[in-house]
Amino acid sequence: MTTASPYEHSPHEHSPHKQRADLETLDSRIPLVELQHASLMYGTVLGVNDIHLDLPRGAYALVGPNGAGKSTLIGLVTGSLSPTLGHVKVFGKDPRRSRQVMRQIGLCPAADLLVHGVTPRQWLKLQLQLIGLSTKQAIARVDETLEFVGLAEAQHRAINTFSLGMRQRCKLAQAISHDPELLILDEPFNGLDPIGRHQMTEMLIAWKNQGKSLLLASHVLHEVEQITQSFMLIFGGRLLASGTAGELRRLLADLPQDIILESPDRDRLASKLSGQPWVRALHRTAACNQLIITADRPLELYQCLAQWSNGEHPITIERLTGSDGDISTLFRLLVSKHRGERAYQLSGATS
Amino acid sequence: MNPIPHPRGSVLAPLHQSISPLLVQRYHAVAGVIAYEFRRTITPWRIALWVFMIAIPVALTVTVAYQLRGSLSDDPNIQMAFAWMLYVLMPQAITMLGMLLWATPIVNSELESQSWIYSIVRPGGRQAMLLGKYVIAVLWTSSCGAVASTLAVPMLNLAAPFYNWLALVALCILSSIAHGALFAFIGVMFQRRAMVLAFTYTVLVEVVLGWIPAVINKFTVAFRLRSLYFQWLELPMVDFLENPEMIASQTSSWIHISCLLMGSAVLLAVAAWRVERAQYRWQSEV
Repeated sequence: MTTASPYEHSPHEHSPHKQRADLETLDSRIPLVELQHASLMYGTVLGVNDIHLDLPRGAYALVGPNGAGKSTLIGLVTGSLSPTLGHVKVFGKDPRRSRQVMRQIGLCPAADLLVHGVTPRQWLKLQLQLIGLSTKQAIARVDETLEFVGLAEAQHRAINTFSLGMRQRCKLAQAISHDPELLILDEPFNGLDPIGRHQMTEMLIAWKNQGKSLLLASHVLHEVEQITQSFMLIFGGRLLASGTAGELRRLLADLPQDIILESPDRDRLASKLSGQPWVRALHRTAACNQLIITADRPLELYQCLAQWSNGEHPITIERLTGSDGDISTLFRLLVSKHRGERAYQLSGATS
Repeated sequence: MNPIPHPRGSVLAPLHQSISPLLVQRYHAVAGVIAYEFRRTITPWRIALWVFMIAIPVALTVTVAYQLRGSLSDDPNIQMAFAWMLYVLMPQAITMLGMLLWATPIVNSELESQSWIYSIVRPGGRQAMLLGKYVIAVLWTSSCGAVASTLAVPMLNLAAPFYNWLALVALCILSSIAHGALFAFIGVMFQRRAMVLAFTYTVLVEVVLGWIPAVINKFTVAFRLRSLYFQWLELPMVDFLENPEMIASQTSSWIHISCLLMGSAVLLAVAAWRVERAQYRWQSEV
């Protein structure tokens, strides 16, 4: 696990002979995305803060809570925003200036599609013509793409009559219709039902397996875990850490955190825990049998709990809720670590 | 590159597309926007608005014609009044209002529907949107003025109805081009309150300043249009002013037309430059 450091991920194999003619000049050895101390200010608000990043081609998940700066970072990568400080390069070129690079980016933004009185067919045709395709080429491609995303039957209905999931598929269709090298999706699972989520996941895995690059932004870790094991954690506009899901979990386990226990033997458990040096705080809540433990070394807590629940006078544990999967906690912990704070005050933890 | 399989069994084949020259790509992009925006104008609401904007000047003309029916209408002063009424209604009010409605929110309407982001990640997408939407706004508005002129001119007992109609249609087209460029420019430069700014500009500059007999009014669209109307219909110059040239210039028509077209081209070029570099705020940005 690294924190705010250049990414150590090995790139996917990218066979030059498979690239299209217009991609020949985009050398596969050139990094996918390079951000050199990029910062972006919205007036006095910091959107992203001094991000230095060098990503080889591959699939990456950009994970962070809402408002962390994911969409802003995506804006920089797509060229829709330019950095206040620093530089951004995609495929070795400035995405705001290079038409060739822009053609190789497919973006599925988080914002809902609110166009009125337009069918997905008309809308998709426009998006392809904006790339530079003729009407004939665009129409042929629209048919293929709508079939692919499962909107062929609804192609003559207005987009504003679609469900959220269908609009999401419409957005995905425009992102992949021009066959880009880099697909960027911002919260792609929003509004999708379980089947839709599964299909989206499978499609993105297939995309990745084609050797194409993927940048996926989400605030839910487990949603993106199936697609890629390469994560970048962003919070408060800063890139806090990068690594695999396993490394993330290990990091979480090594950091102080709140663990909520429900046990009929709460008092006995509290008594045992109070003697442990790695217990920072114990809090008995009003809820029946609930105990919140703030532990400096959660792994040792888990080991002790395993021993005590199997000992001579076993302690019954009905429920244990850790911070794993709670992305907000993870980010608070990482921010604390980033700031070099020794004490990690977590929400709801009072002693 | 192999096709991308989808869990439902469908596949998306790689796009085998030869790269066209840049100008051809830009042509396809602008043509795409024009076709798309044209289809969007064929909705009951927009057609109703188009009909309404034609109906208002026609209804006013019918009312005036009815009130002044009979021998009075042959009076040269009444003929002059008819000509000015048609001018104020068609190339001034109708086209100005139409362009205010269609050209000013070129960017803002895209931001509101959260579809701007899709255009800006396309090469040349921003400029194609600007130009395509501008062309549709000009077509929509000038057609409004042309149809209204076609219906209104025969209602009045004008001495040279065909010549009047021709002049009005030509002025409607020129007015749409010039006002469209002006309002598109304002819409691109100011993300917030563009409509208010455009309206304020219209009232203060085109309506008030445009009629002040001073050199400054030569920079207004209204002055050029008015001068052309004077010349084309050979209207008598007002005699109560010391220098009537300040109200309508007798300079060659081509000078006025060139000023309008070149001014529009410059405004559109600056707007296109600006739109390519601007960072407009949209909902999901932060």
